[in-house]
Amino acid sequence: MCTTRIASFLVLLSSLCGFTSNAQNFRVESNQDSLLYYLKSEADQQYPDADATILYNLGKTELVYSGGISNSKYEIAFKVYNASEIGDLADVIIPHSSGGKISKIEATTYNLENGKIVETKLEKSNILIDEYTIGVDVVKFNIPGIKDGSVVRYTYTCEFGPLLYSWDFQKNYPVRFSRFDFYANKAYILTPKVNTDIPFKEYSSLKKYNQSKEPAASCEEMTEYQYQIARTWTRRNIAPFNKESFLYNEKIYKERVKIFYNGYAGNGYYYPIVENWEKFNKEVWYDKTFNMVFQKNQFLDQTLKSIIGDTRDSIEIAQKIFYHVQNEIKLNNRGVEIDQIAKLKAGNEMSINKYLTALYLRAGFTSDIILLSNKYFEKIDPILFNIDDLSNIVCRVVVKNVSYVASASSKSLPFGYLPLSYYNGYARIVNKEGGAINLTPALAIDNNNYSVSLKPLKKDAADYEMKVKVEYGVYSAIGIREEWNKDSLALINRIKGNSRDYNTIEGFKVNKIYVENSKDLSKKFSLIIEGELKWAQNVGNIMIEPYFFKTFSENPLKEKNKRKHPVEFDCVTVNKFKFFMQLPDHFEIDEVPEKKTLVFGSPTLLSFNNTVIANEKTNTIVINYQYESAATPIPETEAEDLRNFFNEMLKTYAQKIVVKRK
Amino acid sequence: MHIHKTIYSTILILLSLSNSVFGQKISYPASEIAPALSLNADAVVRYDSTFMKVEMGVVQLVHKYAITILNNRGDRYAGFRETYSSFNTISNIKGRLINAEGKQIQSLLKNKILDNSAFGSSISFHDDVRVKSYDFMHRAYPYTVEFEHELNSNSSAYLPVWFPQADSRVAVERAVLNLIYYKTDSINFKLNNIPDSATKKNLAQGSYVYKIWTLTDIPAFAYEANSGASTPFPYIRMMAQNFILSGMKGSADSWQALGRFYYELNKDRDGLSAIAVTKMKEMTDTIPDTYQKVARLYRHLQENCRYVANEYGIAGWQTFKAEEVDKVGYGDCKGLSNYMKAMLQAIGIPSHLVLINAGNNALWRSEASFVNNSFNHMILCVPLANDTIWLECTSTALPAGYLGTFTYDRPALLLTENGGVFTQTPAYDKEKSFIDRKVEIWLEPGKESNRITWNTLYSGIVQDDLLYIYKSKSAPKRKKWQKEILPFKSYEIEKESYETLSTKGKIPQVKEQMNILAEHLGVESGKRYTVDIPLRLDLMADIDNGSERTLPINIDQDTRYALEYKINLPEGYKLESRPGNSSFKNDFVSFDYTIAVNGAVCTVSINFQQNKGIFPAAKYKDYIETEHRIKSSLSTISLSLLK
Repeated sequence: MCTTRIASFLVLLSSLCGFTSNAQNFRVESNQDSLLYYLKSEADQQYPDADATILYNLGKTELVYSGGISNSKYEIAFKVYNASEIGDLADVIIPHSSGGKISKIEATTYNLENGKIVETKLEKSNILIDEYTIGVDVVKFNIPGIKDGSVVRYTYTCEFGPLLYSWDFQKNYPVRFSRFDFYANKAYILTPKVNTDIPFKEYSSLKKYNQSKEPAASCEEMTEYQYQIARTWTRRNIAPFNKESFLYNEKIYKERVKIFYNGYAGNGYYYPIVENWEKFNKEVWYDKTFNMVFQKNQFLDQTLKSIIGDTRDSIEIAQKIFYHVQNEIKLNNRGVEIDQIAKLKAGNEMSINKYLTALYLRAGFTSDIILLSNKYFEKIDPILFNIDDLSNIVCRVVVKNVSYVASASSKSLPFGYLPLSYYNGYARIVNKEGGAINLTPALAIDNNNYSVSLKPLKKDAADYEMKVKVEYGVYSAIGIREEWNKDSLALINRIKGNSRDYNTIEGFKVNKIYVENSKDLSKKFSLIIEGELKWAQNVGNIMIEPYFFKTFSENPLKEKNKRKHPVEFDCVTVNKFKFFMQLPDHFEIDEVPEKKTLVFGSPTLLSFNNTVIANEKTNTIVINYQYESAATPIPETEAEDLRNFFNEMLKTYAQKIVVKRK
Repeated sequence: MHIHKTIYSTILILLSLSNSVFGQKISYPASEIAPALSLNADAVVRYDSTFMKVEMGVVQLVHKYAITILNNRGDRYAGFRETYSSFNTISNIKGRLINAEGKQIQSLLKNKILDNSAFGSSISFHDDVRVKSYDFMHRAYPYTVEFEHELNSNSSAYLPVWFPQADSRVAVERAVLNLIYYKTDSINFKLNNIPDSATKKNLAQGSYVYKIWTLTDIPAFAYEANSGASTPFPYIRMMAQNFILSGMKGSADSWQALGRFYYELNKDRDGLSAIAVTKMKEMTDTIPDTYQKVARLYRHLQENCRYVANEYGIAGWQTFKAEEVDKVGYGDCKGLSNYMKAMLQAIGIPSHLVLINAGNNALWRSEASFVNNSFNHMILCVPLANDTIWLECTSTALPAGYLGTFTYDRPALLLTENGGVFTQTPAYDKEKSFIDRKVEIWLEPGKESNRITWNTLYSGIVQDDLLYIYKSKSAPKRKKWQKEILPFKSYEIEKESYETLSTKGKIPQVKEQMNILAEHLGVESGKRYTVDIPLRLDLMADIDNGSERTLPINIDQDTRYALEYKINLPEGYKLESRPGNSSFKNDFVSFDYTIAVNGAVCTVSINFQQNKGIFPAAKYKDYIETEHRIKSSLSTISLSLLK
């Protein structure tokens, strides 16, 4: 007995970095040695800051009927190091369709008290049910007896619930063992898509797979029921997910597997959901879903006549149509057809952009519907036909042989621009022929111009006028334009109160703040601050921070340790800054910032160019800088170089102008 | 007993007439809104009528209102949304959508009314609150929505507040409250800013009292921060002196009576199993000091229990039994306080449950003169011979005897066997709440980073957040705290340590020490080395809203800061310029900023004290100027050194 226990314990000790074949050795409810080992553990050995470690996480789904009905079983065991920080593990929430059923809920907490293992079980009376909304219920329970040091295990079954078709191996805690089993009738056409740091070793035999010690293993085999295929994946020792800066959607970076269901096929029959994008485009989208858009739609003539009027230029016409729809049709969550939307003056994104496309077509433009997935969804795949990931609908119009994308449901963007999250690569065109389009972030450009000028009110006067003007780029303007339109007074007060944000010179007094083009999205939104400055009369030197506007006020790449994911930029950014200063006659230039040119990447992906002209004759100083960044992702291996690039920019921004009394 | 038929009929006739002219519905054209009401408003309530009938244990409420939405910011007031629970039901929901000209364009479709659980909208993990909602989703401005509903409640323990002006950006044309109740059943009232123009009618007929308040032309206004319990919103709070909750009768004719009710509701729920009692005794038998016994059991609570709010049915008012909390290891404020009470009882130390209004919103705090049920939290009070130990039982970090910002310095209701005792929780003034910080910086031109040692002692309420973070042992939370507290934009912490201390008065303190490397403090040019050491200290609340102030300025806490920055200047450099000294004192603060140079060391000493108090609105300009002046002084320490 003693020898067996020691042997078991030694096996456990040796498995700190690698694990025995499967989770059965670690099933805490059936292996006391394993349980005791974890109860005694005071911190995760690899990740000592972890609040908990997932010991094992098991999911099994069986696809019972077509249409996505399945039975699933979920099991998890975790070790608690910091009970006050694991609310997401300790308070369990299971939403499910009202037609399904969550059953066989078991939860046990194990604690070590005075050397003995004490169990606290979840009682049935503490399982709470909430009728959340029509068709959706929520089962909730709180794990009892949790404290620092506890080991917890819970499991439940979902019968006739929604399909568990994706599985996250990686969580915000370290995971020791994670396994996902997906059983389905062999007739189903299923395509798994895997995202992991290391490749899976593939097995064709479940027996060998179950004995495997590989950190990542997978297997596909017919089960004993000859109609059923088992697909299974196992991952071991997964690091907790670390959210890095310049990363849009962490979901797509987490280690996971996702199963795409594409139809079913068997002896002599083949029923794909989407055979290929072109066929789906023609048979479903063009002929059915969006059919009305591509009809003659003569009822739109009156509306078009009132919009276009006498305008002849095609780009102007295209813009007028766009702004008409953007301003007249409000966004809500109701879907309406294009013959109703003008009357109702409201509709959802799909309704609004269908209407826009129909207007363009009726006006004689080449125009299509674009279906895309935004960055919070999986990218659309040319081969996988993952229609479930299509999240948004926009419009494309061709004017003078140039393609413009537009979304009249986006109320803060001008013609030709989409929300930044929509530039997510491969997207589908819906028209008679179909096709694809690449919505790359390089199509989104944010062009900001800043200017600061400091001039004497009168010759030889100590009183200066200062004017600051910011012309915001399309995307930079969104927030501030909205803030101005919501409450201009609050914004003015905020600007006045936060003079630090604008690095104003000591003694600068704001007199007036106003804007240009607050309502006209087709023009740049500009913010102008006018004020006066009284030069101090009894000082020798004056220091001025000329870089009122900085692309970054701190290094945006905060992580100093090795980065794991590429650096993603939302859009192309161009920032141009100009500072002009006329010194008073009794002062002269002592020191100015240095010129600097920085370039990153080959071909150039980022550039920063700072020029300084100090003219002693005219007693003027002119500083210009231009920052440009492409929207190309930068590999994580170059993150440190990029960080240094930003540091050099920050050093430039920290420089001052020093003027001294003559 | 039923309400007198004549009066009831009269009320209903009056209600229907008030909202129609000769039987036709009022149309609410937007053009009829007075310009003074549209000013600064996102929406205008055209008419709001509340009828409330209060009988013993039963409340019937009929609410009808019409609101014109002026712009997209007003859309949030356009939907119908009412909550209900196991104590009440909502019925007879009606609604219509009216265009700018006053023409009805849609009626509410009853089968489109959503009825959802309120799960996720509050801190409760589970309760029985549900929401009925409806939205016309109309977006052509202006437009008007009109809604009506009936609420029937089988409990009169909580009467809704009449609050006709939903927000500072909503104006009100006309609002009416009709209230009817038994003559023998008094109601406690608290009125706030009911203008002189409000009409108040009293009718007494038979056994009933009938009151009407009418408000007209209430404009939108600019929100004024830090006004404490003062507010321009007109409201009427009510509390039935005789009420029923879940079949239990209670009285609110005095704080003592109200306290007695809650005492009775929660008594005899503090038993523990024999094993648990033995355990409590074993934990404390060898501890001679009573405070230490209490502290030991409090620590046991904090280490073994967590906060989970499951508040459905009577559990929203009555605590779960102590033995249940002991078994499952979680509970809400009531459950945890009651469990703590049970543990103390097991070792012979009496204590009292305490009802309190917690949080920063002073508007609903209890007042001695108005007996009512506005509590949202429960704590525990342990009276000793020469001291009182207050316990915040939902906190996993606070020491025994200290309450923290959530419940400090406010009225509370002790629940004793003799009834309620109106009392006050302790305050923590600037002698107890302060920051003492010493920072030393070595300036080294030519190096990317500068060495800094950072030593801070946080005491009293200013250490609450840090104490929680420290005790949570959460590295991400600690890093977030450091990012918020450290003024440097780019830095690396080479070494850090945190230590908790406790003073004699049980005021918690945290000592924070860090060795830091901070980048970009200084820039070298041809002639100079210029240094900007960020302080980034916002010591006073920013209450400037660009408008005139009408309400008093409420500073509810006095604090002090003593900061010293010792800057070691590099060899071979001469100090060319530095900030000047500054010192002043007024009603709000005393401030002293001095800079001294001694050889190669430049020392900046900052002493700031803020005074607690309620200051008249006339002092607003002084406050703003003081705040701006201090903010400007405490932005950066800028030095220029010549090579």
